Amino acid sequence: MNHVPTSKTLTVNRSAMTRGLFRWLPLFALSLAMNPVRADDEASVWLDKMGKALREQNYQGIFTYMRGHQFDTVEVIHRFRDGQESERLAHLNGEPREVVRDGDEVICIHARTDQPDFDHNALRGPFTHAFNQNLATYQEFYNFNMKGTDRIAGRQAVTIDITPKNNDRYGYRLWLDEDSGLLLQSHLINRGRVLEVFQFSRVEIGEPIEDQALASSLGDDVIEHSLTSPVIAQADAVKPQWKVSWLPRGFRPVRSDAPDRISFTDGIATISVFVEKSANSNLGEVATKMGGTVVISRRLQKSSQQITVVGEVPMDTAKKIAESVEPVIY
Amino acid sequence: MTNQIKESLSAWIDGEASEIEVHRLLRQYENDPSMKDSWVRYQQVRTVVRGESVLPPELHLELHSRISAAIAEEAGFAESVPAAGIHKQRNWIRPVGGLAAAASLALAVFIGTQLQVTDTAGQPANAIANVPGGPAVQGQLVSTNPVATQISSAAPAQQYPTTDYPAVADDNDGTELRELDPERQAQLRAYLRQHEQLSRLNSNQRTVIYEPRANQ
Repeated sequence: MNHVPTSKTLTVNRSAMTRGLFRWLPLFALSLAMNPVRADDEASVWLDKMGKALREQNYQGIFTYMRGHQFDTVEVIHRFRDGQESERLAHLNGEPREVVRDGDEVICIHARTDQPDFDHNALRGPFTHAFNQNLATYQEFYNFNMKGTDRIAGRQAVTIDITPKNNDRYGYRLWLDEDSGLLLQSHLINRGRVLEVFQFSRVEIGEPIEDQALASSLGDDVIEHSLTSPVIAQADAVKPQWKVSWLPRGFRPVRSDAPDRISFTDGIATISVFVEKSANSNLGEVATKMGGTVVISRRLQKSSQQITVVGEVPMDTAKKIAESVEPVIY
Repeated sequence: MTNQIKESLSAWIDGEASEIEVHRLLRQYENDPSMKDSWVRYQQVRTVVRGESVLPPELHLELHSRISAAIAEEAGFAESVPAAGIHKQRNWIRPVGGLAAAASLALAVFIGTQLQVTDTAGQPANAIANVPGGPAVQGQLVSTNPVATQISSAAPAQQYPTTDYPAVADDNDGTELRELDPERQAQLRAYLRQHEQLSRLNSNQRTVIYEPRANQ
């Protein structure tokens, strides 16, 4: 990247954010220490601050998360102590359920019910995505602009626009707390239309949080399951016989330790591609979405494999990726 | 709810809400949590209108009449506001082409025990936005069906302007996850969950498995 005139020193900030973050938190990727700090780097400095605040601040409040058909109101309690994050997300609408995180362990707890709850494993709200630190190319694909100040949840906020240079990916508008850098509100935007909204309606930042506040309030008659264990057993993994032939510019593979999946990122958005034996899947040909996250599944031609693409990218982009997956003949 | 709110809600459900509309919805929601009911109802309308309901055919008609009644109860609604999904009808007539060939190979990634990256850096990917992607895998999800016809005759589509939402017209195929049958929902949610895990794990990986090419 040194040939880029505006080349900046990318500092991989190991400590910034690890888990349980807002879906928009890939933006931490922007956690870049700039050298020197210039006016046009102001957005990057704020994003760095946001990453630290989300992980290393104590905060509690209530946020609304609108994502497609979902309209969740969630109470969040987040504590950072002795280098460890603990968090509890309690859904206030619908069936009682909570996501409790202690360090790396994340479990979903919901009240026992006769009704099957198909939503429960996707209800971590926006506190899911982490950022990616390998951001060598992000500035090629997004513009960053400070957009003045606003007031969210009774707090002064600075506004940052992250605009893609191409419509093959989404844009973001973020409102960060002026004091702490905590994300107070965000929009996920596709060509001027807002696909997802995250907004604190009430939040306290920097206050001490007791253990009790982090314990589940659902009592004993509950169903618990981990959200950190893999769903598809490795034994079922197919010997990789496929390749992804097309990606939007700037997307790079970032994970390769399992043969049946890989993910890509441009530093902000993430795309995952999975493969499994068709015999194990009833998906057929499906294109669906949840807010800004799209899922496409298709059978790979001339093979007995089912491929599934999941990502925070426009449907057209995901389709092109899915179409580009080809069987590999060894 | 005012018609303005209904319209904003309709736009949101179709992924076509502007920032102003989003602001309006949030403000309304704070003042009137009952809006959530309309949210669900509109979602049902959209599901059926778009022919994506998982109901067996014999129940479609019943649901249709119930929804029609619900729409009728919303005073002035059918006259002035596009019911959720109804202005999506352009999707039904959008030509469904074959699989579009990938415009260019920006990056060929072979996945195996070893990941081998072939980076054709000198051959940038075309701007995908300018290359309408073929409707690769719409399957049965975006299609006309009798229910759609019934609804549209109950609330004629030509009443509803579609020109307000030109920008995202080609990005709304694919149904909402909720509109699929439970079995496929469960499978897809498993993938969503794993995707979220991968995204999170990625952040912990310092090792870059590619090196930006000097000529890039």
